[in-house]
Amino acid sequence: MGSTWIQGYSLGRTWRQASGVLHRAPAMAGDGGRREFLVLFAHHNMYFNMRFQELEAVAHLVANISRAELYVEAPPCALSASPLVRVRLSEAEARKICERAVLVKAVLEVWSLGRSCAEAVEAALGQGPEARRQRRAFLAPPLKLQIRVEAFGRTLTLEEKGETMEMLRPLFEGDEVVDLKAPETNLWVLEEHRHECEEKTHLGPRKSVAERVFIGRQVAGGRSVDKKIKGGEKAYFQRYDLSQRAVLGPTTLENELAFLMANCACVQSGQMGMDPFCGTGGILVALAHFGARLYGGEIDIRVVRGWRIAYTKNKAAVLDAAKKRGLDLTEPAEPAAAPAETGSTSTRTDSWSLQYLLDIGLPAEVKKVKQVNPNARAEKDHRLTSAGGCNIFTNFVQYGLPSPEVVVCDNAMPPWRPVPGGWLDFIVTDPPYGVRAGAKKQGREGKAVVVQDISSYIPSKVSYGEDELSEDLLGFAAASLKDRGRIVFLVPVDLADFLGIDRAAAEQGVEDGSRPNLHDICHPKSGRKKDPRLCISETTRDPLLLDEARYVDFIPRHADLELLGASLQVLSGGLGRLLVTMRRLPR
Amino acid sequence: MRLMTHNVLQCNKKGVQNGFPLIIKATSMKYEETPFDKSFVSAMIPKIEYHALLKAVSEVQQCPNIAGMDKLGSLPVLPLAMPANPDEDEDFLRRLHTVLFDLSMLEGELVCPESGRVFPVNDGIPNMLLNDDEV
Repeated sequence: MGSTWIQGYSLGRTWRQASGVLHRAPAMAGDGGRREFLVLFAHHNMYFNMRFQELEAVAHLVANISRAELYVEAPPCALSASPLVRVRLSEAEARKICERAVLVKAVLEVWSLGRSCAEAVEAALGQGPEARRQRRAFLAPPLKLQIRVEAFGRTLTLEEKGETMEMLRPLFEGDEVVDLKAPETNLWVLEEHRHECEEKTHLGPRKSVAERVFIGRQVAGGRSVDKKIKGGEKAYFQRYDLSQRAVLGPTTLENELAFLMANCACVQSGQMGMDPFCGTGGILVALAHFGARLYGGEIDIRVVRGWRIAYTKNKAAVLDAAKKRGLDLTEPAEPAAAPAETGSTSTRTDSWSLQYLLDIGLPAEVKKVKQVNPNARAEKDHRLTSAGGCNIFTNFVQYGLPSPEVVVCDNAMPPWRPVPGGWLDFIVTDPPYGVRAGAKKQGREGKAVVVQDISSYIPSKVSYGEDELSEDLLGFAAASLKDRGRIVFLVPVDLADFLGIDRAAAEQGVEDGSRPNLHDICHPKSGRKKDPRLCISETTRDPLLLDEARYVDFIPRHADLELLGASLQVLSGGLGRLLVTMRRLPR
Repeated sequence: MRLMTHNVLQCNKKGVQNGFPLIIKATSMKYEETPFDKSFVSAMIPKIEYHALLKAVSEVQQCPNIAGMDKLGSLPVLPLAMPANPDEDEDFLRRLHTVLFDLSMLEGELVCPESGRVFPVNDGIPNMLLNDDEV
């Protein structure tokens, strides 16, 4: 077979040459016995583009391996559509990465590769008796095995999977034992098809043929791969699912993304970190899971205290958490005969209507009318109010995590003293940019007022522009992060800018020639013209959107912070958000 | 609010030059033992202002109500100056750990030493927000 029989390998060497080293004993000392593995990523509908950013950070964390050392080939770019990447690791490191990473599904030791399954089997047979003996060590009884057949770019039918397994027969001796419940060895057959956007149906283009087929043994499984074996729980982050969380804020970050961000920040036990926009602590929960000591900053005391704006779906968890904290849970005087559903529905409706007011950006005065004194107006079920233990700390009690330190403060005027050399190991945050939750800072528009009673006075807030907010955030990060400390944050982007569409002209009508802000884009005036170019699939592979060069201009910068990586998540409505990782340069 | 947090908080009111350390006027505090991590505590040493911490401990002694104090007995006494080799002095590190992480302020006030601005602390959460005429 010639040297160009498989496309997609850019380094000009064939797999056959590369796979020759697969079974050789580790030769070099000092690298911990690193050899080549294949990382299989989960095909995540929302965060697929973030897979390399997370893998690189987790590899740095568990193996202290740099981006350049990690990949066998040239580091993949954002345009890569493949859920596979070849890396160089030790087996122990591969296991640790699988345990930690959100988007890694499995790490495989590749046995052979071909353009079709038959070719891959032939290649495996062609490796000679020594390779066969090494494979046999994982297959021979009393070991039990299972075979998984998966394809990317199309869906395999059950019959096709059966045919593929049948093709593997020459690799076996005939006495191997299969056990689908508790196998010691997992064999994988991975078919990779070209990503065909145009002719894609919900089942994928069935006629397309595989571009490359891998046969390999699973070294470590992450995410849902081992769920059958490990008794139900799909992955460690599954137990933090928002549907089961005691207290939720209006824009609580989705738990998988929160863990992804914690991984990008290389959070580990014994570190100190902060989320300056913590809200109800969605990110802090993920950071606390890894054993970090945490600070949370939040401007809105209602969110922190669980007044009105925070809400709960999982009442049982709130009550359980309150019990753990030894709070008084006596029933209210009025009969509490109403079914639990009724109570929670009304609570939710209330917070929705308040959220709606916030979303449409009503001035602070109007909001103050809606914001009733929480002590005077208790919820129907008083056990779910702040006094009953429904606040930012409730979730930490629910999960048995140590409480963070929460300070009500303003990102524009941080109350933290300058510490020479920095004091935080990481900052992980999802700042409010005014898209779903309004971004606010202290201040007053117009003339000053005379404060009559300082104790009950709620200071006025003014809206906080995106640029100003990120400038303040990065300034704070540069001042407070230790050398090489990381900041991970999200930045919303308007995909119209990427595509060169003038949203102001297309949607709003050019009134004063100014670009609409993100809030206007999300909450358009009625009867706007919808540009069909902005109806973008959330799983698009459009190079005009995904190319890293497209979004580098939208990432805020700071002279003391270096950009480690950024990846785009496409959201609905022609919007997106960037996950950005930065590192403090040594002072 | 743990005393570690107090050690990094300052008054940021407009015009205030030296808003650190804030004066603690606690009405209710809590002692809660947390696991001692030697390397973590010694990593804290370069980050803390030791004199501010000594001052904070003396202010905490004025607090009439410290829950869980029976478990602790008495507040740990810190030496007037940082020991020469704090990293090797485990007894000192344990006291430092207790002061920094196990004592927290639940109710009371933090007062700016320069301007006298009062920041309330409720449920262990300090409110460092300024009024609109102070920013």
